[in-house]
Amino acid sequence: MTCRDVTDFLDAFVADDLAPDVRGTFERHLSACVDCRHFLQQYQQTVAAGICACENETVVIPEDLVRAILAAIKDVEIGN
Amino acid sequence: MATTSDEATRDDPALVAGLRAGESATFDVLIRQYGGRLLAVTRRILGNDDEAREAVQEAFVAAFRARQQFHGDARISTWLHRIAVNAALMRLRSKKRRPEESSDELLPTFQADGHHAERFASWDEPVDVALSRRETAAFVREAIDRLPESYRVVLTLRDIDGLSTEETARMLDVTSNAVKIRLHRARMALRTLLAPRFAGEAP
Repeated sequence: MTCRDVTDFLDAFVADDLAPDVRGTFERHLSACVDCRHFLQQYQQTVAAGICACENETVVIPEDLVRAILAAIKDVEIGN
Repeated sequence: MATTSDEATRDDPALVAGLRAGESATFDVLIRQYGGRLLAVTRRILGNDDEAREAVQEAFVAAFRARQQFHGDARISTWLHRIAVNAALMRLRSKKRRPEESSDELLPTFQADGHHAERFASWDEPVDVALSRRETAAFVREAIDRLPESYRVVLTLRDIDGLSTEETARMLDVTSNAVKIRLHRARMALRTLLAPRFAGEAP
């Protein structure tokens, strides 16, 4: 298994979705290849960073949009 | 999904009743309470502030129209979130989009023998520590915004919103395999964009 193969299987590895024999080969490559170990760590950190950055995002809805939505709902109500 | 943390608790029955009755005061509360988060998710999908505003407006109008179908099986926040994601995806589909630029330069490269062409160092700072700095969290969100649309949408639905591969495939009308491939590439492309900051180099 090469670094390219390991990279192709990375998402399945992270999702614990690799067949046992493939997982064994994958892990043997990882234990011997520092670049693949670091790449895997960065890949996992990237997923965690994306989730964390978006979960903690605070957005306040602008007042003009609140009013526009309420007006649009009113239109639907009257239309009915 | 961002809205599942409070899944165990139920909505205030008065709020549910007001929603089903289509009370203006209830919608005022719901728009103020959940509108910001819906604006964030639609902007992430559409990559554009004006379109995100339109999608949130369409979502609340759709919720108003469908109010009698809400029976309190899910949280109101979850129900609204799903409607807003659908509104954003509908806008995405209805638009004639420019062909996406190639994003190959964001993916890892390999030597002829299959070894990495680049050396990688570990990112030493834990993500939660790095992300506690407001500018780093903003940097990550901006990096997601810079991803090609097809990557950004799948990453948002799968990793951020926590939808399954199958649900995402259904919503995007693509195969599960296409979702898996796009998600994997999206994460690798995002890794490339984050590397300058997380490896401690100047962004």
